[in-house]
Amino acid sequence: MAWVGFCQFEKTMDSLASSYVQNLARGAAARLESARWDLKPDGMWQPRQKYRPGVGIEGFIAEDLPIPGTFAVFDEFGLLLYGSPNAPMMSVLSNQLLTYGVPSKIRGADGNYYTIAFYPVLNKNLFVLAAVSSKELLGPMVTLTTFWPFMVGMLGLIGIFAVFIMWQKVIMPLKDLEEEISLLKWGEDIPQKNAPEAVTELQKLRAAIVTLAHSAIDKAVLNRRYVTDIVKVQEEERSRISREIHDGPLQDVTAVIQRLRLLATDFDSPEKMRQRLTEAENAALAGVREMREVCNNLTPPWLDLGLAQALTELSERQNAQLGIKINLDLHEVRELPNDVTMAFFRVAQEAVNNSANHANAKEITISLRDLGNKIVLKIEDDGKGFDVPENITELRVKGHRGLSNMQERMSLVGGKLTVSSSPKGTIIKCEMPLNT
Amino acid sequence: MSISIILADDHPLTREGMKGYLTKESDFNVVGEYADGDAAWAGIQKYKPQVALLDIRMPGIDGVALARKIKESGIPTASLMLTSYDAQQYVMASLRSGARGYVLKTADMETLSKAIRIVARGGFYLDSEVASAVEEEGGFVPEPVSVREREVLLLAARGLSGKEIATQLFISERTVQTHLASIYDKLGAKNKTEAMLLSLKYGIVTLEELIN
Repeated sequence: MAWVGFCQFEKTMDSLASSYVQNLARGAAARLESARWDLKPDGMWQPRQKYRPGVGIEGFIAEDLPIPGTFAVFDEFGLLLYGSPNAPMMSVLSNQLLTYGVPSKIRGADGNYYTIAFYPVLNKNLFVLAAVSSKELLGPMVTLTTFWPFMVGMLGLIGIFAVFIMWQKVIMPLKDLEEEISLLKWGEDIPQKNAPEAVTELQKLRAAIVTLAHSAIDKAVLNRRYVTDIVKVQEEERSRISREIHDGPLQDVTAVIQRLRLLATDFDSPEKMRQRLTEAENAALAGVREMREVCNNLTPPWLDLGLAQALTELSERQNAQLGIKINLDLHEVRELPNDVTMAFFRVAQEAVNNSANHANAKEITISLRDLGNKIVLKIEDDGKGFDVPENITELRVKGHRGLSNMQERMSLVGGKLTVSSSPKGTIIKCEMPLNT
Repeated sequence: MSISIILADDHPLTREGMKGYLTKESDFNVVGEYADGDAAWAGIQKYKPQVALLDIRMPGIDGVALARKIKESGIPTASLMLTSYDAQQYVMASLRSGARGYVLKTADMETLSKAIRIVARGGFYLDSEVASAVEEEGGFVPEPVSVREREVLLLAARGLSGKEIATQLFISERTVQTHLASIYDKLGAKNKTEAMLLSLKYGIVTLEELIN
């Protein structure tokens, strides 16, 4: 576009210069023609004094020519008779092969382009040569014209440069980033930390993604540890149950067998036999007691009686087992789904165990309320307290499962657990929202 | 001559029952009974009895560790494991730590007495319940095991893999498997551990050969 515009402009300029210079030459020739001329003794033509006394050829031409352009008048032998200030240059031009009446464009000795035209003065054996450089004729316009393509070129270059910079600083880094992220395994990989060639915004984007990737990895690690921990807890639980059965009922049954075998050797003494039978009975009873204990520990059957009763039973057992005073402030609550009752129960059990075993509490108060829109269970102790971490889940990973377990139990059934602790004691509050 | 015995079992009812068994035998002399491993160790050091009846699971030092302690200390007491665990790996662990026998707590009086007499003589006794592939009664005599089969069994007992045994004996791994299958068949064993225990029981290999 720029180029076409430029060419058109050039063409217009050329034709303008051509007609201008043609007019100039023809006009000058006409002037000279109309003059009366005398041939001077030295062989030179001299316009008659009558018209312009004391004025030579220059009087005809140069005098009232405030217009741009240059003239030269030659005789038939190519000798310069008159020349305007630029005339020496014209002599060079005159040597060029020029066609009469047809303007042509020639590069002058000064480097400028000149449009020249050539006209004869009728009956005088004189020739007029008129020339005008486009610079003279159009002045600043020309400068603009020459500057124009340069400017367009510059703009083009700037454009290309801008595209290049954009490519290098935006498109490529974006592409790299996209590729990297599409191959990225979240929770395993971390993208390159920085791309120095990219623009700041992209670097920031990358940094943000790196942060995300880090947190994804942290999460994955936490999750993995979490699962590992759950499996571990399961196994520990199984091995605990296995041990309980081994150390309890299994031994008792063995003892019963032993007594029965001993009984078989004691047929001679009814007294001894009675003694063996009593021993066997006692061993069997012990076995039953221990198996009942194992069952109770697995799933307390008295949960069926309702939460308040279950908590009463729990506190009696723990009071006997842990030697800790437990105050109960239990109100009847509506019938709850089994899993909710179980969750409340386990939290209370764990909380009391913690208070007794870790907080050195002397006294515990368990309160239970049905507030209509929610059930609230509170376990307060007078123990030494502890620092409650911001994220209770992290405790599990560090091996302190109690709190984390309690929280999970509650959240599993849609409840909420809040813990507040000070050196004067700990309050564990469970809230279970319910539709009224 | 009576046999001096100490009894280590943390469960009072079974300990009492065991003691009831032992007092039935006139030549058994129970010199001490203990409810945990540490007390039992002290008793063994004090009385140096001929036989120590050891429960595997006990508070303090467990039975297996106690058997090893006895062996390492050079006290001539024979350890007889008396436990509720019938896992063959437990049996092997006990034997490796120096126990001379393994009896389940549910064993009857005759079995226990027999086991005690055997280990007191320096013999080796294994409860039929932990290697129960064949009936002990009825005088089962396994088909003789070839020299090569015996070699394979001993190497397998040391924990070598089929490949390692093959390399050591310059035979193919397949041949090793064939030998092992033949041993299992002859002894009536279901696996390697049982084959080891049964070969001990039938005197095909000695305890020293097996655990060294």
